[in-house]
Amino acid sequence: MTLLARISAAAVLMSCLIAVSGAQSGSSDAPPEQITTDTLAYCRELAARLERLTGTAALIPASVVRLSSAGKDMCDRGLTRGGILRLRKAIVLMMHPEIEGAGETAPSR
Amino acid sequence: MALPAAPAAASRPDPRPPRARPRRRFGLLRSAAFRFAAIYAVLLSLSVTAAAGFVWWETAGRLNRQIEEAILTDAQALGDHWEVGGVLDVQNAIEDRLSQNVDDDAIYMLATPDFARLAGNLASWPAEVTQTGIQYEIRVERGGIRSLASMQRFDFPGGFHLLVGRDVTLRAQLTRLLSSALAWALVLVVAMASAGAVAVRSLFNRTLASVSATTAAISAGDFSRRVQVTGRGDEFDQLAEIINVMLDRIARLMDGVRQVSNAIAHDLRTPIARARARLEEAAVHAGTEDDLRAAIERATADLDAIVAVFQALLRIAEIEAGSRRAAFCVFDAAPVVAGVADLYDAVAEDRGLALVTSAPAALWIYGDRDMLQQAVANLVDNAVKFSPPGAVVRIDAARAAPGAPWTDIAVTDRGPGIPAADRPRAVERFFRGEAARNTPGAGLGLALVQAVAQLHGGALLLEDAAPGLRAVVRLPAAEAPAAGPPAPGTHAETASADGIPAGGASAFAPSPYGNVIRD
Repeated sequence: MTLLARISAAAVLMSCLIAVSGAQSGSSDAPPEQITTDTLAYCRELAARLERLTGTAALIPASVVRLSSAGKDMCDRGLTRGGILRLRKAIVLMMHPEIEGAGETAPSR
Repeated sequence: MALPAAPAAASRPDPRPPRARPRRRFGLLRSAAFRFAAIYAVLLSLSVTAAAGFVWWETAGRLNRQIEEAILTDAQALGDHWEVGGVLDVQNAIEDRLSQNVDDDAIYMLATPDFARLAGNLASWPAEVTQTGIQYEIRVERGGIRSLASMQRFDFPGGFHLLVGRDVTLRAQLTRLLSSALAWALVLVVAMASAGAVAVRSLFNRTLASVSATTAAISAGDFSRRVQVTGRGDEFDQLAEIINVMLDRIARLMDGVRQVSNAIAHDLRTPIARARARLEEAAVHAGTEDDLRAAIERATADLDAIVAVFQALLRIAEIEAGSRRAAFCVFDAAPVVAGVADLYDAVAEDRGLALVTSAPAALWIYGDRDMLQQAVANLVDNAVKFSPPGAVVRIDAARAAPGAPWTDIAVTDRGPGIPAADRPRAVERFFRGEAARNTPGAGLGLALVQAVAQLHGGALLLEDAAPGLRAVVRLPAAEAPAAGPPAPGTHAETASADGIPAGGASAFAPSPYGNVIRD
């Protein structure tokens, strides 16, 4: 095989490798693994965790109240991923109040 | 009787003119134009492939590396929790992380030695994750939507297992998009490279076609053709100019050969015809044996002159071929000049001329002593032949200037000289100027002198002496040999007092033809 043919073959091979590099690996026969943190049960779990955090806090940011209320409402209506997202945000704000900075707060119940 | 078989077709020459014969075609891989174009296409494709690979590595590859680093950092932090509080602490840490995972991309699982779930957001341990230190890509499903996750296994003391991962759906989409775009770009590049290769090959063929057509026309006999110069000043133009210079030189050489052939035929026809006429007349009209003998002697003299012309031509050809250069050595030219002057002293005196010589004690030259003697003798012979009575013929030999690399041996006469317009042609074979029409000679003397000068790396210069001619043989000067026994190749120990070789003065006897020196 001449040098020119070898170089051409290498170029074609590299092109193919790049073209198929985005292909997904892993077994295509096994069923996908189930994520358990997108269910209504988890939504309730997050809501309970948030309750525990807000119950012991002296001041509750208004955004937390809004997010908590919205999250629970969405979960009740079956929009679990959106509800979980809002409840997580509320938890983050409760755990790290410096993220939102100074803002309106509401007294804990 | 059977007729002889017709000769085989392969032995008959092709009667068609050269241009009508089919051109020899090369196989594609043997074509230089194709190789040129293929190299261009391959290099372009490789360059773009390398660039695409770098882009992929910098984008998708960097994303992969970032995810892997995030997983390792996360696992390290959970390992710290294990060391602080064991299983319980790790469980709490995982629950905290999941509850704050706003991006919803984290995947954790803490399992017992039996791979039973203790914490995390995976329902079960993936069966394919069997080893630590390997980045696995596992298909996951959340809320009915399938995606891809990248995860690694870590083992804690006591046989507990930890799985840390990240959802890489977006990265996978980006990688697919990028790979697809790069692949199409490579296809486009290959297409463009192929088109470019065709263009390069066409340009190559077009450029070479000009050279090929010109050389084909020349080989068919049309010496007026020249390769076209485009004026761009590139390498092809340089090649074309060099070829054209070569063709000009070939044309001049062929013209010279043609002229010499014509001159030989013209100039020798007369003496041959004269000799024939004399012999014919003698055969018809010679009354006595003495008359016949005299006619034969005159014809013999004519034939001797013709032989001398041919010998001179051969001598010039031998000098121009350069074969004598192998015998070059360093020798003193001063005795050579003095010897020629002594030889022509008597001839000059007979013609009423004064011969004046000026030369240093030593004048070292690298070359051939005999050829230099011939050249100087030719010039002196011309000067004596063309000078009027009472004139002075000078022979001056010296360095062109103190420290100069040239040595000049100049012969000056007060004759009619050579007009400026004729001087460039005066060194051509058989050229006779108007002033030389009535003097004996074949017009070969200056041609021989120039051949000698050029063989030595020098030149013959013809200058106006106002009046007369000053002919200068300019040769590269040499350094005197080191003192002591003469080095091999030098002639100092063998030179005779007058510089004339042992063959005697007869080797340089002026010939009836004046400009022709017999060996």
